[in-house]
Amino acid sequence: MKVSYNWLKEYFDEEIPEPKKIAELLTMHAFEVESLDPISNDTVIEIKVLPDRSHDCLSHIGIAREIALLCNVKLKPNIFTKNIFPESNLLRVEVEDSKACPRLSALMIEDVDVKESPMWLVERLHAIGQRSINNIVDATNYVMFSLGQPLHAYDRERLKEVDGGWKLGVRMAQKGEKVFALDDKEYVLEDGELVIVDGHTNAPLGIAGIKGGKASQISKNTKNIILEAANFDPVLVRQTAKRLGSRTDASIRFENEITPELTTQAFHAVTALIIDIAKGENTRVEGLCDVYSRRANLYTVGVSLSEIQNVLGIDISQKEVEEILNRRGYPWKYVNPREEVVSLAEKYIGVPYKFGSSVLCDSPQTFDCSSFSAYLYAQAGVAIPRMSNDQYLFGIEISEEDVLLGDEVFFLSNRDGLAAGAVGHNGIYIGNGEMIHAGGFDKGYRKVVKEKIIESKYFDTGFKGYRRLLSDEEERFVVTVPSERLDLRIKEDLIEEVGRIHGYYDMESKAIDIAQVTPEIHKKSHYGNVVRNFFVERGFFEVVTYVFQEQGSVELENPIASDKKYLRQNLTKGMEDVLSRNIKNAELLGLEQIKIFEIGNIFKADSESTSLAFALDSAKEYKGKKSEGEAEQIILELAKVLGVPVDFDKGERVFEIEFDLIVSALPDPAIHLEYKGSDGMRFAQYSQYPFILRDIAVFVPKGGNQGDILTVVLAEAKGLLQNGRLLESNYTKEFPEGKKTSYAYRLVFQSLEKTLSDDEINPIMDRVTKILNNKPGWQVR
Amino acid sequence: MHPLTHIIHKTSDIFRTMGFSVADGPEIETEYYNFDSLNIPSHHPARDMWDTFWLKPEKARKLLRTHTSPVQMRYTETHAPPIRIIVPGKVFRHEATDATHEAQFYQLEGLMIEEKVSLANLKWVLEEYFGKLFETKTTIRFRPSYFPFVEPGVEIDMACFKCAGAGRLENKDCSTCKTTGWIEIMGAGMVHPKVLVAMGADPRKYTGFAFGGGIDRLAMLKFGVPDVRMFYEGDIRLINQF
Repeated sequence: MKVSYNWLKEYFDEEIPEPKKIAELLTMHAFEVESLDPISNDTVIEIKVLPDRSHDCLSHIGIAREIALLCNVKLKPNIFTKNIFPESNLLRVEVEDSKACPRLSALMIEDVDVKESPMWLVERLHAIGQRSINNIVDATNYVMFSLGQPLHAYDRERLKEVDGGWKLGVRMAQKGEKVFALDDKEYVLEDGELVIVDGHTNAPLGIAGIKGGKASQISKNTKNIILEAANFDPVLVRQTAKRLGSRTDASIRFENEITPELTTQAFHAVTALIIDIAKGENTRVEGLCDVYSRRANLYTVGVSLSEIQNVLGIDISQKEVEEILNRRGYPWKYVNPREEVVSLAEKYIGVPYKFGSSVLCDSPQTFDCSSFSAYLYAQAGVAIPRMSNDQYLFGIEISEEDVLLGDEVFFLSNRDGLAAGAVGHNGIYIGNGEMIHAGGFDKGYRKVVKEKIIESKYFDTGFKGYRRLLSDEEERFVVTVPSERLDLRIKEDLIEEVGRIHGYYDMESKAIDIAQVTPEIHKKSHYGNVVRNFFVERGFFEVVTYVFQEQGSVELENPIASDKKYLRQNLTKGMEDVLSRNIKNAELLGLEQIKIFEIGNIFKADSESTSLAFALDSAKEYKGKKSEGEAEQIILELAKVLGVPVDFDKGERVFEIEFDLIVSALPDPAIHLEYKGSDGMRFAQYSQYPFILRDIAVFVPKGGNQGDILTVVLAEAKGLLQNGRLLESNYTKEFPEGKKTSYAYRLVFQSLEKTLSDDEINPIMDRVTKILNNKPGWQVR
Repeated sequence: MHPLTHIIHKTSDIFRTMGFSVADGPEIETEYYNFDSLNIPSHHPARDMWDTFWLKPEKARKLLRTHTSPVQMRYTETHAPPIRIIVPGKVFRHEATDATHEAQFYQLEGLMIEEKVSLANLKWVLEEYFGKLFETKTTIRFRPSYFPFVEPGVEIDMACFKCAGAGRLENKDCSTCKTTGWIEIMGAGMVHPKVLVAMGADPRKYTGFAFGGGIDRLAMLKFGVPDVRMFYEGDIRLINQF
């Protein structure tokens, strides 16, 4: 995400560090900063915000909060004005499915002056790569990039007025419904995709969370506007945006899930801005209409000091954790979980019972038996399952003698539909044979009550026993997580929050115990290495070829290229290609025969298996070098080395073996095969340019040493000469001074820098010829 | 021997001295093993972190594994903690290829699950590994990051072995680390409790770390090979140097 440094400064009264320092701190404590780009009087910081922090940090305020935390500077107070909007008299909203749209907020502002945005706003948007449209649209965009809540503005007069009122709705689209969007494209929707509609006509105004419609857009003649800020189901938005191939700044924020709390915060910000930059003669906020059916409590997450220490492996102190939590600024307390559970249980005596109460949304206004205990434990910083039976299974059985205050008491279910013997009720043990539980009777009403366990009506239907849900007795830090931090849900999240703020970079490493474990020997890898050694010892080179091929029996849904649509069904095809390419370099490599092998997986219609293939062939010039039966000989040797028979597919040049079959026939290896590679290996770049061949033959007195000749040649031609080898030596001729033998050599020239020409090679050959002819009795043919 | 084989064999031996066994698994995976079981649900934006090759028919939900992490899950089906494994293996990403990106490459996955395993233990294990692999004492550092199957999650940087973290070599910029002094080398973290549960390990009893990084990249760094694609061309001019 692109972040403007000037924009960030808006959130602080104090100075904040330079962009470079901020980038360093963010990188080491929060996110990777990918680049810093200075532009005219601003710096654009490109930040890689990953999905865990995309809930709160695809926004300038999110980044500003991290800066406040890491640089120990204070955010401006009152960034979020808490003014209450009047309830709208003219506007209604309607949501068909509150799961798909947990919140829909709409705000009417009358008499705005639509015009160009002021320069500062144009520059801000420009800095982060956004185009200015007009002041109203820019204001909604500005707030989206400020707070992370997408907003949309409608021209009120483009919506249908009925009895002096307007209405927005969110509903599922029907297959084939069309939206002509702001980008001048028509989108055809599928069943179940979400649309924003004009509530009076039921006609789509936009694709929810993705794109607004053209018909109701803000124009320069717009006077009265309806602002919409909603919260949509992340999966629905993601699926629709993906299907339509239209991922927008809005859809990216929705698909990462944002808190529904943001909608009205965004209205406060955008209203202030509109009044500032789009004020007409009688601009007024007419009012708000807000559907927010299931407002959730803030999460509480707890962790103990030793849990932090154990997971991170650092000796962080209680004081350091406290300092970090204070700096983070989220409300927190330090509690003894057992005492906390009991004291809260006492506190909620008398709260009405309601079956199916949600821990997140209904507590502590109503409880059922297990939401009561789940809520109490959550408040004490301990995560336990939601349902009675699951709590029972999660807990550790304890006897009546060992039961302590805060442990749970469980009872069999007397409800229909639960399995026989399943636990269906629970309470909190508070000593003296008493419990506090949700679901007891008090004057005919079901409530949270305190009573003797044996006097409870549940005791008669089936007392099941006591269980301990705490895994230790240690005090816990319990943090109340602000709504925007949807990533802080379990203790591990909290450990990470403490760990990253503390900083990982100077962590001391801690040795693991390496004495006590005997590793297994991986059979297939072991024999893979045995086979590799076998082939390498016989002059073969190991290759790894591509699995993507033009033909095969397993086809890809999304190939990278049309000639790579299938997975290979054998190694042979890839080996053939590699063989041919290498044969062209045979002279350069100084190899009379190209010998390669590969071990790799192949894919048949219903199976994947590991195959072994080897190939050998020679260039044409080496005719006769490939002896008949050479491959068969290698197979025989391999079978001998391994001690099992080896079957193979005899090809023209490539021979393929079912490696898995061999491995399954072999015994489990007893001794690990150690790596014997040499240290200090470095790759030297080979030339990308063609090589040139030159042959030279020289007569030397019969019986002369042919090795001397090559030494002389190599010494004289060094530089561009890559290698030289003896071609033939069986030609003898009578000279006046006696018999002489001809030795022919092939020289390979190549440059790392360019394609060589005769102009470069001829002088070298002349020098070689001259020096050979100068040797007594030697004569170049 | 192929340079990747050198790295894999040497890596296996180094980890073996620390008690780690080698494990493997299929290259064609199910959506469950590659994603769901690793706390990467369908339709979650985290899915975008892995560009995936899907197989026909699409409704079979089979894919080419995008990492060797599914082997964590397969291995724990037959093994209970304590667990120490590494998984070197071929993986696939639907990416445009260039000098540092390939559609097929090798990944090294590591997993250790025992009572009281910590992030500081991971640091020790990786320092041992890199020190022996690169044949020089190696410093690493962690930075916060995110992978759905770990929490906390970290990115691992290795102090540049070329310039010893200075960012410069005598009188020129260090190209190995692009002057930063650090080389981004792996992703890692503490195994997410949901993943521990999926593995059948009780998160109240066990903790563990997992790490994953590209073997090709290690080979490029160790041997000075400039282009990842060279590993798959089968060119003997490369292989005969190893």
